[in-house]
Amino acid sequence: MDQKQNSLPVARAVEKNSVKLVIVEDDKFLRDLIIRKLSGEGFLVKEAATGEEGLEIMREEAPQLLLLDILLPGLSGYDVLEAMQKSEQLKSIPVVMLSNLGQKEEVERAKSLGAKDFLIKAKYTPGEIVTRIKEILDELYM
Amino acid sequence: MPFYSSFAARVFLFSCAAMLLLLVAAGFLMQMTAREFFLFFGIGGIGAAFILSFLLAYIITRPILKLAKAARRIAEGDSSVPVDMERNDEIGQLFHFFSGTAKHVRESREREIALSQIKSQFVMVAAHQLRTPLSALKWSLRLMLDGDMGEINEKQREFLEQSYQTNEHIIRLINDFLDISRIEEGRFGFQFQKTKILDSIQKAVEASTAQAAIRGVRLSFVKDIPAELEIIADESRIYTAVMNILDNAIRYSNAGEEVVVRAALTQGKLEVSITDKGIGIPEKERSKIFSRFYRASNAIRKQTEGSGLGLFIAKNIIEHHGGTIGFTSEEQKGTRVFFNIPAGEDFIKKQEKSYQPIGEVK
Repeated sequence: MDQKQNSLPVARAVEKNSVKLVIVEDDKFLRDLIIRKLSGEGFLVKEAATGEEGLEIMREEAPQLLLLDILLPGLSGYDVLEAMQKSEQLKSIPVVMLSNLGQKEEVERAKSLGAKDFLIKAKYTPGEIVTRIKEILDELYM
Repeated sequence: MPFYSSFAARVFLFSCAAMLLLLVAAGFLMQMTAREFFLFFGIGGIGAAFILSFLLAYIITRPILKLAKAARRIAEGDSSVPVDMERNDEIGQLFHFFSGTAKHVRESREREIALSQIKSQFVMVAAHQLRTPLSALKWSLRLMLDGDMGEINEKQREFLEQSYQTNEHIIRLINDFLDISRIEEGRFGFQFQKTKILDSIQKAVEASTAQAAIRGVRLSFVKDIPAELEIIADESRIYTAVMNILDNAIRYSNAGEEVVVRAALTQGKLEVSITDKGIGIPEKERSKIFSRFYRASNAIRKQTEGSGLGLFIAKNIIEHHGGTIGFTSEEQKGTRVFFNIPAGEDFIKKQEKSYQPIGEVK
């Protein structure tokens, strides 16, 4: 699996620390764990504990990809997706949902609001999440 | 309903006959000749008997017809039927009891709906609340196992791997509970799309490798289908189905035995079989093996933990893919569970049409 990851052109960009990600996740422990993995892989990660904070960070500097939780204090993940759709600046940022919801209706709702993929936290390991992010970045940018 | 078998018609005919007999009897008593009889009573008498009988039949059967109509509506599922009739006789009593029963039915139906809503809400909230800390455990154990937190030695790896597998088991249990409650509600949603089916099965086999190793069971995967074969399926549900069957196969094998997963293509169908040499299923219990919460007696003896939901869910998943699932088994010799799924693209339309959610009356 590692070989497959490294063979993606995106791997070189990640190695040069030039791929920026934003993660919106209210659980601090989960946030720390996934950031540790992503940073270890060479991504530049900015974190936000709420949707509002996430939108603000992205407005300052647009990332190449957003990892977004759904159940959040204040704005929900869906609200964030809607806000992004309305903004010229944020519209084109690909979003991967990272949530423990994940029934059909939730996945469909997120995708109809523009989410690229929907990963259920309890079903994916950090390594698998990284692989998926690299695949999506590769499709979009390479 | 033919005319003569209707209750109203019978009352009418009976009373009509009685009245005509009465008229004839009266004629006899009054020692009338046939001519006098017809002159005296004539067509008017017979006509009156007809009209009176009709009225009688109407009065007697009207409340019964009303009751029947109300009962039919309740049987059809409309329990909000108001039944009111002010009568003090036996029919009035009947109405009184009937209204009581109808009220009862209505109340218990409302309670049932409210309870099932509370239950599914509870399962949803509980599942989500449990999944978050379990994800944190999964991720941190995985990061340690992957060496992201520094080097670990073999002994540490072994323990961490066992912890990881235990945690995975809890996550699977919670997923099973969530799936069951969705199946019961008829909201077990499927996301069908073109899927590289070998990858989904491979993923389930890979995810079971560690559990097999811990139990000393060898796990092998025979791939008799091309890697690029795509069929319309719900990737994560197929993963769950294979996972659930594999979990049993490994769990009920003895150390040193082998579990073989095989994927093949026969007559346009994907056929997957999972064969173990484990404890088998007692003959008497084979018919219950796909029932929810059922666990075979020898399985419980070998392993106290287990929800009895795995095969029930697997069956539901395979059938939603237009496939069938079955098994052959011999006690102490092993079990072979197999399922097939149509590999064509046209089944999805068929399955949408035939899809009847459980718990939804149409």
